[in-house]
Amino acid sequence: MKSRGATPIVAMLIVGNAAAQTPMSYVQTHGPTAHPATVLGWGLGGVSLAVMTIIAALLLGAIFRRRPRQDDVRALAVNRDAGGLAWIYVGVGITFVVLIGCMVWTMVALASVAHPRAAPKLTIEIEGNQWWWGARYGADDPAQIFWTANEIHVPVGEPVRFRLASGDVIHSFWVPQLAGKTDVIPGQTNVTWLEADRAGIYRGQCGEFCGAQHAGMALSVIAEDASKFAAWRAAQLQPAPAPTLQATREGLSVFVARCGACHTVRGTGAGGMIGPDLTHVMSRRTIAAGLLPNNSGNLAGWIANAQSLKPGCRMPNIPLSGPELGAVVAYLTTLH
Amino acid sequence: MQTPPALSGFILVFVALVMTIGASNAQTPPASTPTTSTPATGGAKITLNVAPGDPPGEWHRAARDYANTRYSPLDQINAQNVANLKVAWTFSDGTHNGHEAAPLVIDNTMYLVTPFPNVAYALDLTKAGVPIKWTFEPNPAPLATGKACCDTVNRGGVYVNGKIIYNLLDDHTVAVDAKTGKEVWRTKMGNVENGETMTMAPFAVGNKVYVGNSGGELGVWGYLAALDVDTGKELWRAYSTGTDEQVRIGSDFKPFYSWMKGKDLGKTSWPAGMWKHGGGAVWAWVSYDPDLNLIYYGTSNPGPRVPAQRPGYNLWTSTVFARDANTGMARWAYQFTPHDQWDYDGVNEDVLMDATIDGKARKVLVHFDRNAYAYTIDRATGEVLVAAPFAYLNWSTGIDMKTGMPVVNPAMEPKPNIKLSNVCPPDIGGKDWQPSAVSPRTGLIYAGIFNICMDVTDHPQSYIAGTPYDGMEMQRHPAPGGNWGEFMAWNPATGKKSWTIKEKFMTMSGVLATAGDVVFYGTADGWFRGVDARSGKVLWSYKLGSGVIGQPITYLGPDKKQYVAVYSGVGGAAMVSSKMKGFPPRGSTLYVFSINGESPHSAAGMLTTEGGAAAAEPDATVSGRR
Amino acid sequence: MNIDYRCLKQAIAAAAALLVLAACHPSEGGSTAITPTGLPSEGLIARVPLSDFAGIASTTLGSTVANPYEGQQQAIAEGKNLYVKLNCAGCHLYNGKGSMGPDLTDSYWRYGGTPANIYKSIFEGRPHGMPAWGRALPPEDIWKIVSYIESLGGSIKPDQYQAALQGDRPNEQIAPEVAAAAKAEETTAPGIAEALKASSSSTTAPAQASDTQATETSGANHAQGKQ
Repeated sequence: MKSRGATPIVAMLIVGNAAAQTPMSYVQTHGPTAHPATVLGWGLGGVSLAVMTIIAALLLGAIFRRRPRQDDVRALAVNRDAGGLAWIYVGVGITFVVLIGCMVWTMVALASVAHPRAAPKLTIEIEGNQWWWGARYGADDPAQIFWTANEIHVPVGEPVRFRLASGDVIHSFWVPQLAGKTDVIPGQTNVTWLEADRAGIYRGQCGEFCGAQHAGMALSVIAEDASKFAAWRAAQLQPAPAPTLQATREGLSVFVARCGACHTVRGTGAGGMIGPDLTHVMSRRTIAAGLLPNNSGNLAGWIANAQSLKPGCRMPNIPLSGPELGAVVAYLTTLH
Repeated sequence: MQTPPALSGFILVFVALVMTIGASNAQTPPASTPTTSTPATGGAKITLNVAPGDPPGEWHRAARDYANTRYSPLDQINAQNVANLKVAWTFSDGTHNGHEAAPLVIDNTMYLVTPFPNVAYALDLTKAGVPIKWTFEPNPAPLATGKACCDTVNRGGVYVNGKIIYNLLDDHTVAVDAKTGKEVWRTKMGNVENGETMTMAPFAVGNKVYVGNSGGELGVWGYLAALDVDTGKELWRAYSTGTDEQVRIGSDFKPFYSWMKGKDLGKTSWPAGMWKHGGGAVWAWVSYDPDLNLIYYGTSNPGPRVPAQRPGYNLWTSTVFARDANTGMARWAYQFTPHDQWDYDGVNEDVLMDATIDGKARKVLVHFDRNAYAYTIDRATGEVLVAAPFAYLNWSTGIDMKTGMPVVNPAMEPKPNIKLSNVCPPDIGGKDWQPSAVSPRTGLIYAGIFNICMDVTDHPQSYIAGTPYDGMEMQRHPAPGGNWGEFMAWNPATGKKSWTIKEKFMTMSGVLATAGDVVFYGTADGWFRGVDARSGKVLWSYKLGSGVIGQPITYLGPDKKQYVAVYSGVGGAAMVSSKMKGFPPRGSTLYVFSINGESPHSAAGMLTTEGGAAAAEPDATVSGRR
Repeated sequence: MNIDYRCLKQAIAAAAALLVLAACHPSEGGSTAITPTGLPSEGLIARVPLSDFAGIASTTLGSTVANPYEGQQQAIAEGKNLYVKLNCAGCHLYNGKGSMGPDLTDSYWRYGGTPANIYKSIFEGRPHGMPAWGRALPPEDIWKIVSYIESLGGSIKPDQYQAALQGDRPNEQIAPEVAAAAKAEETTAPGIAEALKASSSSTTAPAQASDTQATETSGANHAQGKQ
């Protein structure tokens, strides 16, 4: 727990705009995974401030207190019972109580963020890869299991379990407004949970340096009410719609031939797992792990020259001709 | 009141007519010729139905009969004289890959199908030198050789309606006129570019021939199809995954156990979309019960071979189906290994017999599964009556006989990217496709089995059509005991071994059982043995030019003498042990044995060959070093 | 979140290009199909033949077309990752020893074992079931896989391209006539000349009738390095 000194004051002043301007702000959080810790942080900050103020006042008081004249022998401190011990007893007592109180509060906060109240009904398996996030939605019924990437929807008010695995190096799963960081470590599966208590779009970021594009490894957690979530989930379970126009048929054919070794679009012959699942790519707000807004212009630019947009990323520049690129983008934009 | 003679005659004719008309719309159940038994010590009380009752001196279909008994009634060669077996003649078919086929003998002609390029030969047994009567070169696509997981093998043809019908590696089924060697029809069953191939011996009943694909390791969509024997037209196709309509499951479907009850389980027991490349290939054996009119066959492992990618039971892989032989609609099914995690295909043979189990007479099928359990299953209902381990296993602690489910040992469940050591049996199982044989005289069923374990690491796999959809990295080694193979006699009623012979090398050949109370099998290093069917004493061993992975048969020559024929030519999945010291090179030779090696093809004097046709061109047969 | 104006400009430019191209190729009905028939251009590698050249002559082709990632550890690691993820391991096994596909660790290469040959085999595919990856993978990825295969130890060094064609091994003896013929043809093959200097004995056959030289094989090239 870092003490942030004056920052809380500043943050409090602009709290109204905080969420909009600073989606990565962990000062204002939502949901029982983070909120107790945030409140604890504010509280301890307040306590620290109060303690600091009181002590500063006492110190100043002590420094500037009028002192008796030196020639007044009866005023010498050694002959006078200044009653200083009481100050010590009282001071220690207050400190003790406050510290115990803070300790208890801390432990309660830690306990409450460690586990959700009830066993989560939804488990999402996250795979951190350089530099994107794969997500597999689990279910008791295997037919409800599907894959997506980078944009995760969760129902509001329900805890969601996340099982974190790495495809390569150490990453860290961090959605600041919903929870603290949990490392994603190769060779083991870490488990964490989130709960969003109100609808909204929460931005996440990889929190452990993982290579050249560590800064470009963002994700979104979108919390929506139960019916919207169910609708989204049902849509994600569908295979990709079959293309109907000639351009989109050509695009599918180009896609399977040139992109299918690395990307999956369910319902087609493309079953690659090296890159993100694109079955419903247009249902996502961004591409390239939060780098670019998702529209056909950006898609085209990304496919043609990913290396200039996100240098060093695993998506190679794909040398497509103009018509091929147009057709692929036309096809991809049908994948809602 | 007595029926007037004319009227009773009329009634008789009328009834006969009705029956004939009725029968013509269905499979005509051929006359069943049950064979009863006197059980040997340790044997069960069993009865075999050897329909369709082919002539005892001939061999029309790989498994001898509909029930897949591989039991020959010939007894000239018996336990007393088998030690005198010697080579009578040989035939090299010019190809080098694994020789898994069974020769066929009809009307004094022997029919052979080679591994890729799947040349068919007809050999004239009546003439000196066994000349080639005709050669059929189908020229399958070379592309197929790169899509076959386990060598470019072929398990043989079937003789039906004057035709030899067999499968080409490149997903075509061909029918060849048995007399002339001319192609009668050819049907394209799949697209080899998808990674599908065909290696199984077709199975014929009446006017239908049943064929299935290979490719469980390449994410194919497995199926069994019925073709018309005379035209090659596909009559129906039952897929192994997908909706009930695709799997041909309807209102008649009555599985015995609960997890197979439900709608569209071939789709819903998989994550979204994964059933489409779920495997379930049908690459081995089919059997048929003429009384119940049901065919029985098994499906392969699910794809990919990384179970973490496909939670769910993954129906209908690793499953035995009982289907109506006419319509293909499923009657019952039993999944041997739900959510298979170790590549335990369910394709091994289902040998049909009537057996007395716990004092009751039951119609059963006996199946040695890859998962090292031997099952005796009521073939009318799918109820598992006996399930006992026949080989070393640790993936499971037993089968719960109430639910029908195996109890999985959690320590043996592979997790991605983590090496799991000593998983037993390995992917190729406690027994692979190499078929067993049963003797009604001894009440025992005989099989070559394995004693192997594996270290396995799973790597999650992408699906890229035409490439492996696999992901299992394995090192295989022998299980405790150190022997890779074993030949055993098994009591199907009690689930116990009667006797066993440990073999240093893999025992991956088919088995032949005979009324002479001799059973024959071969080893991967090339020994072909004749064993006393009752005691398990090895009465005769002969070293062949290469390892034996083919199916031995026996027949009567034109001289009415009994011969035993088997291919030598190692390959197939036996190659997993190819680094063993003493492992033989590849071969291509058919060996035919007789008592003292006597035959019309060897005598003093100038014998010459009157050939009818030349062998296939060298470039068609030599596949060379890949 | 910050808006990357550079990205946006590029995206707008790409979109504009797209619009222009779209105008040239109407998307519905009657346009030339652009279904991706055929491999993209292979570049310089296309010059490497599958077999040997007609009219025997020496060549340095095997060594001129080099692997840009030759020996780079990062490329080898990425190549190994692709080898597993693109299912190469399914046919050639995780240790490269081969089952459905051939052994990549031994020195037998039906279609040639120099980096350029291996690149071609992956890019173009081969008749017995090796798929053509040239459409699915960009060149850098294929070279990384080549680097990994080279690290398995069985591949042929580029400067031994012709020696491998001729079945030569290090430490073999060369008959004097053969060495002399090779020496006579050394002008266009620096690799051969150096190899001969390194390995030939002091005795060289006297110049035989030079009109037979042209029909003799152009000599053994067994430079330093393994076969």
